[in-house]
Amino acid sequence: MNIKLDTRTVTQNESLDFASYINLNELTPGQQCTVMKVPDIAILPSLGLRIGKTLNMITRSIIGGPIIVGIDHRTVAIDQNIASEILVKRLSGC
Amino acid sequence: MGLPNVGKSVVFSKLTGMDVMVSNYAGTTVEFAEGKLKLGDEQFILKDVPGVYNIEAARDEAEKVAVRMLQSKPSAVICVLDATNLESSLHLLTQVLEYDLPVLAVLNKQDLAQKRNTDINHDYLQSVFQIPIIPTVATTGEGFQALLKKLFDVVTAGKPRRHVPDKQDYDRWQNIENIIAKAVRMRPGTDSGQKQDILIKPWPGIPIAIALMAVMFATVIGLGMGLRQFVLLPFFRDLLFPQLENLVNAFIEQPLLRNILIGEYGFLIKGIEWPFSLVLPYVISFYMVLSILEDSGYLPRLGILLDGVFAKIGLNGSCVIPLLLGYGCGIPAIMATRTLPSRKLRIIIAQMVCFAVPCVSQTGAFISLLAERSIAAVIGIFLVSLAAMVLIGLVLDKVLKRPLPHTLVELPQLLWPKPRTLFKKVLMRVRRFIVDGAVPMIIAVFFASLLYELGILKAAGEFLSPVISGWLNMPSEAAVPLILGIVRRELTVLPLIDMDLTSVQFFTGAIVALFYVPCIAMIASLAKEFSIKVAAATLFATTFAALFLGGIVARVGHYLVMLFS
Repeated sequence: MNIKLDTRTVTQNESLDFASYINLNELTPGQQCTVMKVPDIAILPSLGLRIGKTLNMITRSIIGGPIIVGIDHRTVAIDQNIASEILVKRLSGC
Repeated sequence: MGLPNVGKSVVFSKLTGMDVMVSNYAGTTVEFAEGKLKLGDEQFILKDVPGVYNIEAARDEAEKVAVRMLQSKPSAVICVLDATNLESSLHLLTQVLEYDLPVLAVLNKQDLAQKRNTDINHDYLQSVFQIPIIPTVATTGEGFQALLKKLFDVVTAGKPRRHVPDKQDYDRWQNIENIIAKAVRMRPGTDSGQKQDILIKPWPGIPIAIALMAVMFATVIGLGMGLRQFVLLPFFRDLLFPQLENLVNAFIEQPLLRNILIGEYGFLIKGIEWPFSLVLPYVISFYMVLSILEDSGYLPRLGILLDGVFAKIGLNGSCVIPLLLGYGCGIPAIMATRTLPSRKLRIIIAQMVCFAVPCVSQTGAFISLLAERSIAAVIGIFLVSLAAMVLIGLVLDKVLKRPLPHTLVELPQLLWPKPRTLFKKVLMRVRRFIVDGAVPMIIAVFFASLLYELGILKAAGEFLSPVISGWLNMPSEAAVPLILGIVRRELTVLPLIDMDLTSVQFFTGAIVALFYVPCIAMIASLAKEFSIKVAAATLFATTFAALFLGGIVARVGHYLVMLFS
């Protein structure tokens, strides 16, 4: 699948430092994070997956099923392949 | 217009008085419904459409219906916003506003927002978007007085709201976040979403799901049996039928007419007993249980739990809903496939429903046929049905080479189903069964009765006897279910009940019935939703599969019996 990456900067004075970010797939349940980079799939912003949004990881599913995250009181299931293309910054203290 | 699962259909049914199906999951509405609405002195037509996340990126056939409706230049648009999901709702609103139509917004689910300690300043939102925004609780009708008044104003003024589109979607979202920061205020207080998570975590989510499905299955069968045993059977067998028989015997002398009415396929007896005493109890029990599942918001969670497993046979978790609906009736199941994101998935699920999923009428007939002899046989039929579904999935996945769409779904909030809504939904579905099911069945039985008494049925049976007796090892009268079964699926099973058959023959008959042709209404639905080619192919494939497998079962059963006796 050809995924175009959205490479806007988050704020004026912070550039994207990919090395320090992990992908959504690598979170463990209960961890919170901020979204840093999102593939260009039209439905993702409508589900709450946009740069700067805070989300918390709820659970993984068995046998390659989706990752389930919580965003703003919403519960969203994301395919593992797409989750691995979403870069996030872990929020400390979780 | 609005996101999926925001309350559009509830608003529609409250405004037009028309009953449409409402449930707590995205994808309940898959086609548009039309109703009349009186505003002031004029009659208007109101259309309910499926929900859509992003007008510029419609994901499936259902969402495309909504976009087409918006593009068809209506006089005005009611945009339903979800107070518990304001961000994405406002995003859709900005997209709708770009169509230069008069728009009125409804800020629905106020009750749920209040429970979350969220206050929304709708006056501020009104000033930003320059359209009326009415807070409502659609399920109770709160706010509808104001809604009707404002709607009248908007429609009669006919002034489209001119909106300058943002250059980039990114800017749209930025604006919305700024608006929300000013419009939404959270009151202090916590809201616990954590308790609900146990349903979607694999542990204990999967054991819970298995237990729930078992309870569902047991309730549908138990409740159905109870209804039949204690309510319907006494009424029909002890009260109504003796009266009918006496009446006919008293007034009708002619033996032919008498038999047509109360004879072997007597349509006053069988024609009434079959739909109302054998099938109706299970229609009621199944839809009671299904409606609870639908309204609770659990179904998409079940889909997520099974998503990984389904992927192994080429399916998606979102296929759970059409398949479950198929155990009720195949037609809403085929319609529900519109929410699936790819045509390949749609075809696979539609084929599963046609081949291997018995509708509730057929299930009721199976239980009536087999349960008294052995519950194991009933469970056996369902296991065969599941195995067939898996096989069909595997085969079609390899044949129709197309990639599996990625799962990206939002899970609805878990809610307690409202008894009044449940009651209305079950009533709606029972009514539909009586009109689309019971009446055709009565008519079919009438013709069967006529043909039987005229000897034509017997002749047809003899004509088909190489297949029936030779291959399937059944008596020649077993041709009757095959002939009637094209009209209604349960008619492939019901005539077997009163026949004198061995256990192996009963099971053979059940297997043939399970795989046999879907009813005419379903074939028509297939032709409409896909193509005549698909419908015809299904017709032939199911007939062949049913007869072929029936013969295998007959032989295997024969050898097993010989082995054990």
